[in-house]
Amino acid sequence: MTQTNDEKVSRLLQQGLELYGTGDVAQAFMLWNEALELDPGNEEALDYIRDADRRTKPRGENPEAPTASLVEDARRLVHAANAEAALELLTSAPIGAPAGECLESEAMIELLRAKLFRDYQASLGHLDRIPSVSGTAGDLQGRNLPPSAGFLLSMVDGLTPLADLISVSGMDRFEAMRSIHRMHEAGILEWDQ
Amino acid sequence: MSRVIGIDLGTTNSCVSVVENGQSTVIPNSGGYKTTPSMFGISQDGKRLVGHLAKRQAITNARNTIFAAKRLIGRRFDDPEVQKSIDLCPYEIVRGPNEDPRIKVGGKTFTCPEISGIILREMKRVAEEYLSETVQEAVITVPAYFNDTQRQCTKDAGKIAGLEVLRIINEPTAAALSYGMNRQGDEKIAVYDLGGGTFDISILEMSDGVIEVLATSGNTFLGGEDFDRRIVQHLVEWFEESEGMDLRGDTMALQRLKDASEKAKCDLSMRDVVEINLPFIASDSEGPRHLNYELTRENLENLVHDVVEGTLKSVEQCCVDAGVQAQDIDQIVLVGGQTRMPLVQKRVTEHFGKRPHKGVNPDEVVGLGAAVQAAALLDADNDMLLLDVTPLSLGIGTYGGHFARLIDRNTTVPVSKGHIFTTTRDDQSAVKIRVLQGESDMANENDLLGEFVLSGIRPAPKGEPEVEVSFDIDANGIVSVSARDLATGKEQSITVSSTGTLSDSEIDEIIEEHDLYEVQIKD
Repeated sequence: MTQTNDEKVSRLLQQGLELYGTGDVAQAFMLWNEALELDPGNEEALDYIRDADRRTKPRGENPEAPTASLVEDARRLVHAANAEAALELLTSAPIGAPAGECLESEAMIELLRAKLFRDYQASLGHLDRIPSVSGTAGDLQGRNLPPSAGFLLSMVDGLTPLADLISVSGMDRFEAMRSIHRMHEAGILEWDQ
Repeated sequence: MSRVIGIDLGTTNSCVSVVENGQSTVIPNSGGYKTTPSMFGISQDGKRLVGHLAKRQAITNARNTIFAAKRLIGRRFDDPEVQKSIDLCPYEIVRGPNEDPRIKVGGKTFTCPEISGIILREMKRVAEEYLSETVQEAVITVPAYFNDTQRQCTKDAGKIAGLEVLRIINEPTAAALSYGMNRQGDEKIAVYDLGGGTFDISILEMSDGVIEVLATSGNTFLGGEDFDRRIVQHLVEWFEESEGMDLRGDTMALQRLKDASEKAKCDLSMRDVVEINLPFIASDSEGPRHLNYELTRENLENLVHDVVEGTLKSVEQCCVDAGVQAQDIDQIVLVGGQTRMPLVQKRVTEHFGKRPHKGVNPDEVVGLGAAVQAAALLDADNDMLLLDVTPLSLGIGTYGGHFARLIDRNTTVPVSKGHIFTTTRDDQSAVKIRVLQGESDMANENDLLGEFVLSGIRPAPKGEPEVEVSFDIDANGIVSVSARDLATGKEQSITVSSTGTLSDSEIDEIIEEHDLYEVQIKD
């Protein structure tokens, strides 16, 4: 396999994981199969397909617990510096794994939340900053935001600091920070640095 | 000399004013708003929120957001008004140790004066920020129908806020003052007050500087929020029809709908049509859904027509109680933001056959009047004579369950009156004085303001001892009662403090606790 092919396969595997983490399983399968076409017998791609296939089957057909490999998948994502996707993967997983494995998954979720919380804090900076919405309502409607983000946006009035927005949103503090961080990254929310 | 502020402590919103260079001015808060929601809440992360911030979580964190505590202040837990609040309010109202209603939020139980105290403290802070000086004294307004206990509790709330309450005045009186009506000749004034959560109509008679409340009526559970609710309901139904999604169980969506409805309602007082745009109000497998709706003034009027008509029924009742015809009214004053609605103004004009006064912002008119009164109290040269009257008759419970009236309703305050009573049994050594307020001849149909025992009466046949009971009502309408055995000179007296009022030590404890909290948040 050439150097370029190697990079391509690696990229396809990574993109597949990210998609899988966000719940887009079909698209993830497509990318991993594409990786196999470029590198037939690639162990990593086969592993991903096997694990994902097991988890997507109904529970009755799948007596084995899915969580262990899910945690492994999440670890891979963390190694690939994609903690967000790892958390998505773990929190969107089906329930029903044996207690020990569930605990491992839950512990990892907590670790990831703590890590990401610190990342969001660092990215948002002082929470006494006052955010404003960039663009018009029309611009916004073309985007794909969840209702919780819409709710946070509705509270942005050019007077209320981030700390108060988070407090009164009634949302879990982590979720509120994540939503604000994402909207800031996407250029929807802005504030003076 | 520090300035005295006037505070309209409203059920839904509060407003603080001051007289500067002879002009009364409303003081805006740091957000630029001239009124502040009378709301207190504790956020999910334990932060104490007052005013606009508390309002923002009113639906998403409803159990921990207190509004309309004024409906509860100074009432007994068993009062029908309190029971109705228990049915309608999302926060928890519990029975207090003095049979008073208390509110449980964020794991802590608050008394009603404490909640009002928190709102007043916020208004004090707003004033101090604006004036750049410490404020220690205030005039606070209350509804004309507030009894002694409710007035006393409001005064306690002021103390909790760190304010000396120089005067408690009636809201309709304050509204009339802000128009300078006390300087005009004898006339009858109707004050139509449609606030956020309550509707009050009062008929006042102005004569020689004495403002007498001839009658007051209304509905303590009707206000601008009913208008908002109708719009929300309409939007939810429309969204369900057009998008097939039910938003009723979605608190985030409902909070946005409530905020947008209130704004649309206000805008429709100046425009014929408004657009309500709520992007990302919901989502499903097909992606985000937006709510985009055009609401016209006509739509709104159809939605709330019956609510407006309901207020006019109270107006009719009030005129009957006051013994006047609608056409006898010389002036009409509108109070409360909801009276900006053209439909309200139109129907009031039609009802009285004359146009209401305009010129003073209806949200601010009561607060401005309180500031006028505050300035007059400070100015020795001010010749303004403002005398309120007692809203209800005062007396004591007597043998056979009767009510002996010592001071009649509508007596100008301050006032002192006494009467001699005697014993009902031979060798009776003590008498229990039950202080009551109300209009019924039967004691148990009136409000019990307080009770105390005068003991050590000299043994004598029944009917012989003479006990002089004296009532004093100060300018705030607050009652003191004393009883004296004329033979022995033995005397007992109380400043009436019954159910719902706090003892001095309780107030001090609350002040200390709130001071500690202030220090905590500064850290």
